[in-house]
Amino acid sequence: MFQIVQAFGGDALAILGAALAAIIAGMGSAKGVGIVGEAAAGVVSEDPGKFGKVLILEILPGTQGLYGLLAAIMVMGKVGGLDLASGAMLLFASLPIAICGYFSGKSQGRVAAAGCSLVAKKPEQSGKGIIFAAMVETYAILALLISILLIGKVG
Amino acid sequence: MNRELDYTYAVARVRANELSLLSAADIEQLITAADYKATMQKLSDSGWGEIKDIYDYATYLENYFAKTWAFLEEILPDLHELDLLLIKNDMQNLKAALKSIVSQHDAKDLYVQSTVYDTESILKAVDERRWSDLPDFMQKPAEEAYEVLTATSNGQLADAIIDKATLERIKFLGVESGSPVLAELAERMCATANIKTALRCANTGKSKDFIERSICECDTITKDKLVETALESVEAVLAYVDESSYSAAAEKFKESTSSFEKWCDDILMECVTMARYTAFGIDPIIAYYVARDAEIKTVRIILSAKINNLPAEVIRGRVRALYV
Repeated sequence: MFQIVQAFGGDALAILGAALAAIIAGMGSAKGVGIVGEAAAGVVSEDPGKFGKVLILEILPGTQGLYGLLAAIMVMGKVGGLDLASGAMLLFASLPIAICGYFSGKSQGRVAAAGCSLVAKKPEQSGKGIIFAAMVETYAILALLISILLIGKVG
Repeated sequence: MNRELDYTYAVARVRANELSLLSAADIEQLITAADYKATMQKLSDSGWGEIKDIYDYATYLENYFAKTWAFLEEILPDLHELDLLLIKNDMQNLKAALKSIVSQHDAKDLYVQSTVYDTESILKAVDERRWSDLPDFMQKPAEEAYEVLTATSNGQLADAIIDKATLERIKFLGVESGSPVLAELAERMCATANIKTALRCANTGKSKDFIERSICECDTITKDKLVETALESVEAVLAYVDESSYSAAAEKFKESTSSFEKWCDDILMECVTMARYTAFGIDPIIAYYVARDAEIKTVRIILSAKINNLPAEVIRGRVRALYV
């Protein structure tokens, strides 16, 4: 048993890290995009001409899932004969984008949904709605950056 | 459980629809229109619907309100969220049904649509005097009002009993909603109704029993004090109201009855105005309903004034606060 853990435990931990990055950040995006989707559908049902403006807002919370995927791919690139310590490091390196991706995706969804209401009432102010939602993105980018740096340090 | 995200779709649709609410400039145009017909035409041009009979503005506004109701029915996952605003219609129907059975006259024309409970069931329960078939909060006041009507034929007291029960239900629903905006709205609805009742009772010299059965308990104004002052005089009621958080009411009442009525409507609007900046939850939807209701009330005042050729200055003084 100990030998199996020693032989494959590192890779298993790294794969767990990759899976968490993709799953948890993806959950945040799914939730965020879902929230904006409802608001966007409400706006478009009243005025189909605003589809383009609300589409940009709907796309924004989807990026966290992509960041999670990117981190997962980077971790997967390292898999193959990893020792336990390296595997554990890759698992922890995946956590910033996994956790921050979840919360920022969800929060960005709320801000973008509020932006949809802004587009509904004042379509000429849609740029401001996009800026408000994009501000939340900053923290997902920071988390992705730190995950990339940490993954790069391993191996 | 936080349910505010349940209304994301509905809030977005409400925001898009708020664009069709009349602005202050639109209202001014309605007031300054050449005559009644021009005002109606302006309304029709603003999307209020086709005019069938230009002099029947009541039906025209009713149809417009029906559109608002249909819209809310379409967007809300659960219409019981609007119970606080609609319960007065059920109680109005209860009143009509009670009077109908006592007077042996058909009151079909008096029944109001947009209710919380099935009107037919309420009418059937009243018709058969099966009070226990009514919703819980209606049973006692319905029976009490029926006894008053059959024993004394005092229609005013019967109405007062039902009105008090309506306010108590509104207050309960406001607190139960968990929304601070709805709770405040309910409180203000009760307080303003109590002030109106106290002033009316003081003016007409009603008995202590009548006043006590007409005024409901609320947090911002004391029932006992209102009853006590209403037994004295209108001035005593105003002096008490002046000390309360509704001091503006006393001032407005001294100005004129229409100023006071306008103030009563405006403080309800003021209460929901904060929902303009709320992106989630039921509050923006309630605010939209209140805004539409106030808008229709304002248009009714303008049309009624126009048909009677009242000057623009008089109409302006009666126009309610707007949401947009």
